[in-house]
Amino acid sequence: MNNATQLTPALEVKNITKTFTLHQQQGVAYTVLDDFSFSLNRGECLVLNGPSGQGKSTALKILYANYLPDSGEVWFHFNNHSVELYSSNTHQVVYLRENHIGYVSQFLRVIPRVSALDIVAEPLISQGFDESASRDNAAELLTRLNIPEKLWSLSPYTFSGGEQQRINIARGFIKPVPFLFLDEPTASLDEKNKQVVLELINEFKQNGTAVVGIFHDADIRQDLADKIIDL
Amino acid sequence: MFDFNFQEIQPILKVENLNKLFGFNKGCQNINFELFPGEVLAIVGESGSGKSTLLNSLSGHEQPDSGDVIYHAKNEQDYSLYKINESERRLLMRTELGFVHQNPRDGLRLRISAGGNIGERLMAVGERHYGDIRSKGENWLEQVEINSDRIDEQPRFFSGGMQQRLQIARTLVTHPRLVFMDEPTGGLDVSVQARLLDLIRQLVQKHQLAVVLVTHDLSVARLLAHRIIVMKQSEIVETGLTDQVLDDPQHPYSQLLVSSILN
Repeated sequence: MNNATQLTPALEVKNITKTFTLHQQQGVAYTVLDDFSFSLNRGECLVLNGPSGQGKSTALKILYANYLPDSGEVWFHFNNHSVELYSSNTHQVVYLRENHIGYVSQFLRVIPRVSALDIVAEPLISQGFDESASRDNAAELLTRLNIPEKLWSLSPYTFSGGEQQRINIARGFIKPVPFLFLDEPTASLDEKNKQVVLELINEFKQNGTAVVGIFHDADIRQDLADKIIDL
Repeated sequence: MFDFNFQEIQPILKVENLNKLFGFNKGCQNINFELFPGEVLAIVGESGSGKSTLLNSLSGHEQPDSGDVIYHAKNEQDYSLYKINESERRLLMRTELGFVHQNPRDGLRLRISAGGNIGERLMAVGERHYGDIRSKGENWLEQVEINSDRIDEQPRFFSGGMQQRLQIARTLVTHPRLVFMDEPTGGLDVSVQARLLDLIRQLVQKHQLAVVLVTHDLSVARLLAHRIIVMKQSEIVETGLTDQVLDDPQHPYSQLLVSSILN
């Protein structure tokens, strides 16, 4: 790392506005984000805070190009390059997601027939890592998250909400990434597993990952946040 | 991990101002897009929106009224599919392109053996060694989860799901770089669909295929595609990343499509 990169933030969000227009419901339009901006350095964690319905998830989804803003910019800064999300083509966005962003959504999207272990290992395998080494990493992470080994070869279809969420978390944390976005990752977890997730997030921060998250628990927010934005 | 090493690559397919109309708003018009190697694109929309016409024009089966379909081949040359001559186009379609029909009967010969169905494609690209052809046939049957000891059976005795898997083996055996699929899970039971979708997902990833997939089933698009094109009355009304179009659709028609899914 040279000095220049230390001065540049990792993530810059500039003047995001987001309006939902419901064409099927008399064209009702409501604005959720208006001129939303922040910047975040490597190794820092930004917590999006506020009551439900204020746009926390919407803001997070816009960072991942899952929701499309009306206007504004999202800049990802690297050592050698900067990428603006909404002026890149979809091909480039897919590359950015697959290689540089970890994203943990609120719910696991189960793929038919795919085992828990493979769901977790897939982000590594699809990047071209050795399959058995990727599965070893996945197994290590599932062990840390207290998923019993007898479940690893099963499709998470029948798992409990908390188990599914831990599979989802493991998938989001399997590869080292410079950017990590977390949508209530600890919502359905018990105390022991919350602590594991907290440790994982702190390890990523120490490695320089910029983290943006929504957290239900006040103590987790307290523990992780370098910056808080109230929405 | 703090370096961004994206390599700008050539699109494998460029579609420019493509038009093919059978009547007012019947067919497809003003179609423009690019497809990249390894990318899966789903074309969604209701029946009659022009999805299949577009697919047929893209794949060399239906001469458009105007516009261009440019394929970037393995040899780094660009070929305009309807400006090259018939024999060149046929050669490309045999070697570098593949097509999976909705109805396996359209893509298979039901009265020759499963092995023969696969071998025929290989012989069409010049393979002659019987032992090689047979062992490739066995290998591909296994890849599509058909027991290789059924290689001498005729597919007319196979179930619909097995026939569809055989059609996929027949298409992929020549290692096409770009595959067109028309409702590949269309006529199948839901349980069979899930298995086939997962198989297609794995094969696409393993062989780094570029795919243009026509489907009216948004969950098929969600599972397989990186990007979606939504068509309505012959035109593209919206396009974007699959999860973005499905989770935050912009156009009134896309919103209607997405809100019509039963959960």
